[in-house]
Amino acid sequence: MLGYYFFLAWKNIRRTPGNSLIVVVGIALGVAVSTLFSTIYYTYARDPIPEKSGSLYHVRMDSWDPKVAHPMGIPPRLTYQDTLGILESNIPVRQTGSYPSTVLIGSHNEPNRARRESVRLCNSDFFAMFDVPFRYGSAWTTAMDDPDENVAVIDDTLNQRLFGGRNSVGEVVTIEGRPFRVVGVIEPWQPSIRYYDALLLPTALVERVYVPLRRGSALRLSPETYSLRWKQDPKEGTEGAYMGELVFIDVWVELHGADHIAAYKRFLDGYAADQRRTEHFSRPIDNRLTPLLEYMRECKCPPPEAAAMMLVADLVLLACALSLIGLLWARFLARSAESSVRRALGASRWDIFAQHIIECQVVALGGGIVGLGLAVVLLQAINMHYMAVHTYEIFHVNGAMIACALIATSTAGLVAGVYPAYRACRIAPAWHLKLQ
Amino acid sequence: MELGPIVRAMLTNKPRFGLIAMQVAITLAIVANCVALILDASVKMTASSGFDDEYFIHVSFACPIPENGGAEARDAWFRQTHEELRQLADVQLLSVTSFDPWQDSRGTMKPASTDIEKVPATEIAGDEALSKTIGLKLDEGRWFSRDEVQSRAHLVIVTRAFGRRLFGDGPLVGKQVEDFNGDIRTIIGVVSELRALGSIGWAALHGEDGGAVTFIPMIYTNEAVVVRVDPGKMGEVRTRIETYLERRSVAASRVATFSELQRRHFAPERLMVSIMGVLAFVLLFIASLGIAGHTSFSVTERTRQIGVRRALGASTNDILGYFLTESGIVTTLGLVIGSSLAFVLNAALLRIYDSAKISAPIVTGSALLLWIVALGAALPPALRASRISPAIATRNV
Repeated sequence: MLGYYFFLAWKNIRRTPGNSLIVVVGIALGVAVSTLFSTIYYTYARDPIPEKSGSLYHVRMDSWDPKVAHPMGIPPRLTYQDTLGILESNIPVRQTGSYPSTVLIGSHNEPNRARRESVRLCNSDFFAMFDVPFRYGSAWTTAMDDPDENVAVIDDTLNQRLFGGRNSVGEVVTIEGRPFRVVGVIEPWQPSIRYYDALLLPTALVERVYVPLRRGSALRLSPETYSLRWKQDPKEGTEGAYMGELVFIDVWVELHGADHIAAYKRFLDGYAADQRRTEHFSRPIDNRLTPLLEYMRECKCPPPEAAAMMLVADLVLLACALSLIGLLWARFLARSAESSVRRALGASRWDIFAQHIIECQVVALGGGIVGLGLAVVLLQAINMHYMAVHTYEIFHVNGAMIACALIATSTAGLVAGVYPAYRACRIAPAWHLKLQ
Repeated sequence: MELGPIVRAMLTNKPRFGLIAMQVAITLAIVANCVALILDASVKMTASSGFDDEYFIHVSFACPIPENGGAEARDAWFRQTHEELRQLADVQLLSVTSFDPWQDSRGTMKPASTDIEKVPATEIAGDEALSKTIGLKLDEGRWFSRDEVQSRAHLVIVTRAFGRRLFGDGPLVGKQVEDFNGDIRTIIGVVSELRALGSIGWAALHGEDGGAVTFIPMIYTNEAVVVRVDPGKMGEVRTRIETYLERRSVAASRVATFSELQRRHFAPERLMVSIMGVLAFVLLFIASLGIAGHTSFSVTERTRQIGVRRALGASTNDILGYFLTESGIVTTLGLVIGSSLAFVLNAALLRIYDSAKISAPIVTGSALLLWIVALGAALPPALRASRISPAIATRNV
């Protein structure tokens, strides 16, 4: 029966090309707009690391001015000294502090060709926690988090430039004039959202070099990120930054289960209470463990504009579907004689209804395919617009986008077609048979 | 034109006309919000900075000596470049500063030793030549000296409006403020008036208190300077600067007027305007398709009736008028519902994010636009109706 309905639908489309074309265009525009904005929204909103997002937590502590709260409530990051203090705990399964900076890096043989590249200072657990893929080698071991070991992980682009892309594990690079041993090379990797450091620019490029956290202080690197302090540093310059109240480090821990979380929270509270002996933690203790997805939302990821646009786009789809009702009605009523004959021959109202709905969906499907194509083109246009700033394509066509388009299509087809189909199946057969 | 029969005929078919009215309503709601956003963005993109393009050029460039070539070498290169730019013909003054009328760099300050919340202001780092270069008038105190700039003294110059916010009326020189870094700075001068800049400017444009600007004596970066040129010589000086930078084999450079900087800063707004424009156009197009289709269907449905009416003496214009009126009534009904829907949608959007507020004129204007589009869409089918021959009435098929 279904096959017969599809055959009828196809025949009817060919018989009314004008009407079909207009319906296809109408649905295509609605689907294009709806799919485009849904894709943009979900690029920001989707879980970047589903296997782990439930167990990754961002640590924040209120180490701020005793007299005035931080503008965001509690500071979004931790000071260097607090980070070192907290990383002493052995409760979390994995943990890392991290912050970005820039360094002069070149190969050992040609130190004059050193260039300035972005670097991330972090612990060895960082790579395992965030599933960073390695091409050669691996992360440094926890033992090498020690400030005396000069090890580094570089990314594929840097590996190409310095070593021609070969396995450079064991080679030496010069960072800020000092020799560092390469222990790993990362595959080309760019998550759509840099979720472990999403506060300022969630779509920033990932860093090219990774170096153990403690090296930052020895190399006198200044944090290249949003950072504030509520009190003057005890010393001038970058050295003071590492000793003072500058909050610039994101600390992530991996915890499994409520007991684990509670135990770590107790540790944090204990640490804060301990620090109260100095002026450092004079505010009421407010330590927060924020799960990854909630942290992303707090960093405006997805940005509220994206949600608003998605709402508007869905309304546009609705408007398109409503506009097409009249057209579909005209289409069905033109063939009411046929439906009457079928009813007289024994078809039930439901059969007629089903046949018309399927015809709607077939036409809508044509519109959906065109709309999806249009959405892909528009998505690339938006990518091009942002290329200048980000130099990589933020938005990708993927299965979710296609699924979005299909859902939009059949919804539009349904909304537009259900009332005309209902009226079509209610026609009294005798009236049309009589007029023949 | 008798409205009675038209309305009664429509009432026999409430769902169909109701759905078209709903479609018009939703279209108006979205189009009105799109128009509001477009207007809002256009205001930002075309606002005047208060600094005449004729006098100012913003130059930014990078040093060709790499960082590992040594800080002294790079400093010397910058000093020489600044001096040579200053010496170019028709250049009156040059200032090494982060000043840019459309920048968004904000700091916060509060009176020192108080507990009140810090007040936001646009923060500009400048050298000793800044005030003369961009033409700032001080009505109290003085500008920074060269030594103060070199030593990054803990001083600040504020606008009168900002100073008033912090300390009320009265003399401001000598008062102390605490900046967002925790440093205590002393006010040594007050700028009488400055067109509000950057994002703080939008607060001013929208009626909130603007003009909050602070100046810090510091060379934040050697890579950006503002040049004041002799009147009428803008074009020549610009070419001269570009030629000079090329000769110096500068790494990356940009020479721009303040208007060009404005265009660059508002690229996101331009994207927004394009998107909104496309969205509104798509909606109007779909709406016209829908109304055309619906009217066409209405005509087909009543072909016999039209034939009868024509046979009984109605003119083509009567028939035309009938269908245009029918379409007009549905459209008007839809627009009325859509007007309130537009405000509802706007409230929802404002709750989600910092959208633009719509107003009655915007809604009225959009409604008018939609009405004209609907009229245009209903015209072809109505014309077709008016051409139906009376002979149809007597046919039996």
